Amino acid sequence: MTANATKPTDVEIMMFLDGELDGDEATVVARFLEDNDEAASVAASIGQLSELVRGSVDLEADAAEDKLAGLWAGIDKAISSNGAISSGASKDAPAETPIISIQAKAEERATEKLVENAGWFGGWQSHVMIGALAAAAALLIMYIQRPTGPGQTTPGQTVAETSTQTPTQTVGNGGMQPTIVPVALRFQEPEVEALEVYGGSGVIMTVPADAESDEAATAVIWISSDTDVVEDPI
Amino acid sequence: MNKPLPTASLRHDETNEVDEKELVRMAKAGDHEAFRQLFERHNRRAYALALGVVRNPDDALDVVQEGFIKAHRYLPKFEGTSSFYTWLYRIVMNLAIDHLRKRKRAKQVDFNDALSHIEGEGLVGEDSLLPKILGADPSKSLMRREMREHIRLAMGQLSDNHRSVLMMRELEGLTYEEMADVMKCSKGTIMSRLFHARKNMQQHLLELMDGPTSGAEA
Repeated sequence: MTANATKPTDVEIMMFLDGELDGDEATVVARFLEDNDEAASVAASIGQLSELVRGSVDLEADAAEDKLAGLWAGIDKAISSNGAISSGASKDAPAETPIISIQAKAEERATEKLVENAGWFGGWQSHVMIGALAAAAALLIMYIQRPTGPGQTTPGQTVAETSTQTPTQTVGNGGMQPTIVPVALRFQEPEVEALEVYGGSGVIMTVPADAESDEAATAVIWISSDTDVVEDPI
Repeated sequence: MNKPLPTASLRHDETNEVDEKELVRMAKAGDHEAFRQLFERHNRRAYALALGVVRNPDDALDVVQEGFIKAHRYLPKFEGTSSFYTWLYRIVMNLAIDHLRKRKRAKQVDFNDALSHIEGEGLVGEDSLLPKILGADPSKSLMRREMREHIRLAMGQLSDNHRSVLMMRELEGLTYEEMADVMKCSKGTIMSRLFHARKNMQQHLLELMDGPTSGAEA
């Protein structure tokens, strides 16, 4: 209470109405309210405001009855997936954010993304399939043309050795029988590197230049997004 | 201490409390149905509190859902020294306040929280509450959609701290000490926030009702 005990402040009136004053302080304010119309009006306004706020929120809560009833399904699901009540729960833990709804929202977002990407795939399906077939063909050719050990041949090599039209290179080795090295064996394998990119991965395939055929080096970069969805392209 | 203003009409009677203890015991033992009954009893009240603080119905539903999930998780730690709802409302209130903190776009400062300059001032002035503004039965006023909208808007214009204390006081009837505990601040700060929350609420309402002169509607 202030020095002027006969004239309480609005704060003191509010505290009195909220039950926060006791003893002499409460008595003084109570008497003042009885004798002073202006103070009584202030007290009434506090009571009126309380009633308006309570009533208003109450009505808003009424409007949400249906949604509240539907809330149980989510809670039930969450507590069921949490399993038995944890006896090791910490008392400090209520400050932490419950994970359940966040997980559910993340899953929802992931599903939306999946659907979105599936839609993208639908639009570009033919391009992706052509690309995949081209890559498969290139890999097949590389496999066929791969170098092998002595005495072993690949189909391409056999053609080179048996055809007189195929250019060969003679390697000098003293008086010994010259070794015929088929051109096919000089073919350099492409360098294939893995490529990590944001949100996906890729492959860089570099085919070195070929002096014999005047072909320049070629690099193919193949990037796939992590979210690409290929639903059984075959 | 004198009797406080009447608060929310959702106080439990003794029978309910006995039942509730049993429900809590069963829920602790893993009975989902018992927990569902606790949910049925308290969801509306928890929602009103959450809505009063966060002001967005969807956010309030999220807060209530998280509150019950959290309550279930930590039920073994509930010793029953207070009612289940008293324990629940603290969880819900903390979640609602957390929600406001996360949502906050810019730091709000309640410049008018300081009350030191009020000391010694009378009933009229910058730091005074306004006299009765409607001059009518508040419950009748609430029947008008326009009035409900004004109150909703006026509450939305309060700062988060002001609105939180106002809700705790008006809906739950918490003492200043209890509110200080929940909001982790001093009792003096709570008193200050509550005073300014009421004053600002009155002023916002008057503005929305087209100025103080129209306040005397029937």
